[in-house]
Amino acid sequence: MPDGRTQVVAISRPVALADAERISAFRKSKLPGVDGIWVFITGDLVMFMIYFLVFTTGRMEAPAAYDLGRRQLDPLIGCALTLILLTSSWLVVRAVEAAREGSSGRVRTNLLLAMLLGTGFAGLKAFGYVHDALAGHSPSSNPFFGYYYAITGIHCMHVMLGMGLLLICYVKASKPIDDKYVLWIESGACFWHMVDMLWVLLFPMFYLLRSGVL
Amino acid sequence: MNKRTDLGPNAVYIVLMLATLLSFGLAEKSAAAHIATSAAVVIGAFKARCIFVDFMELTWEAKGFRIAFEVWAVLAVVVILGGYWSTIVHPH
Repeated sequence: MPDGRTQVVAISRPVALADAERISAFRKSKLPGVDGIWVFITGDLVMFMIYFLVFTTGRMEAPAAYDLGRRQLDPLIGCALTLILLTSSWLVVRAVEAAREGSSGRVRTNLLLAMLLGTGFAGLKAFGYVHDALAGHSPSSNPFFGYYYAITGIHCMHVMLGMGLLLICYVKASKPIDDKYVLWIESGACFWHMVDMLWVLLFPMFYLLRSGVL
Repeated sequence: MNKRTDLGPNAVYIVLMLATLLSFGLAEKSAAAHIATSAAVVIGAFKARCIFVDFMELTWEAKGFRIAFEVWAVLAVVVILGGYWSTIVHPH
């Protein structure tokens, strides 16, 4: 008659084997992370392409109003936001590399710094919103600001979601790193890079489109 | 399995930072507003491409996704600059 401990081993072994097979199957994938995250990211990119299209169509109808709105924004803040997000993305790349090497300490350090920068991005964006609102620029004051608040607001929600994923990866890194964890962090990292990728196009679209007549 | 370009993420990060400063400087300081603005958007798409190739490790091995992302980057430039230039060539 086996004791309780033996029984636990007997039950957990098939589960562990199934996990190993599943992870092995994922490892054969041609993409980092789980395939599902790529489907989600592609869907998000399509959604933002529609936002680009809607903004551009609106701008074509009233270019002067959009240029007036753009000139109220501080491009230096836009540039700083871009640099912050790019640095955060680079730190996440370093965290993924550390995870593949099994170094949980480096994973946690890089993720912590990336999350701090993500918080800095959200804080600076909030400062920008308050600054714009105090200057009298509400979503209804100018069509430009309607789209600016809506699209950058949706992007900010993606930043929050991305930081949530990074936080989960950070907490999970307190345990020894295995293949399953690497899949986790690769998936979270891909989402975070997508957030960065969207911003590098939102930055010129909102802050740098200078109008004029040829 | 998922090879990046030969540059490596550290060099790509420096390129991305410099490209950001370049687009900001061009758009803010350049007298040729239309060209500088267009360059800033193209630089934005170039940066997006660097991110999905070198940071997200999206290689040609995953052909479907890679094509979708390449098309997305080009389409973003066409949409943003198409609308921008249409207001310059045909002002209201």
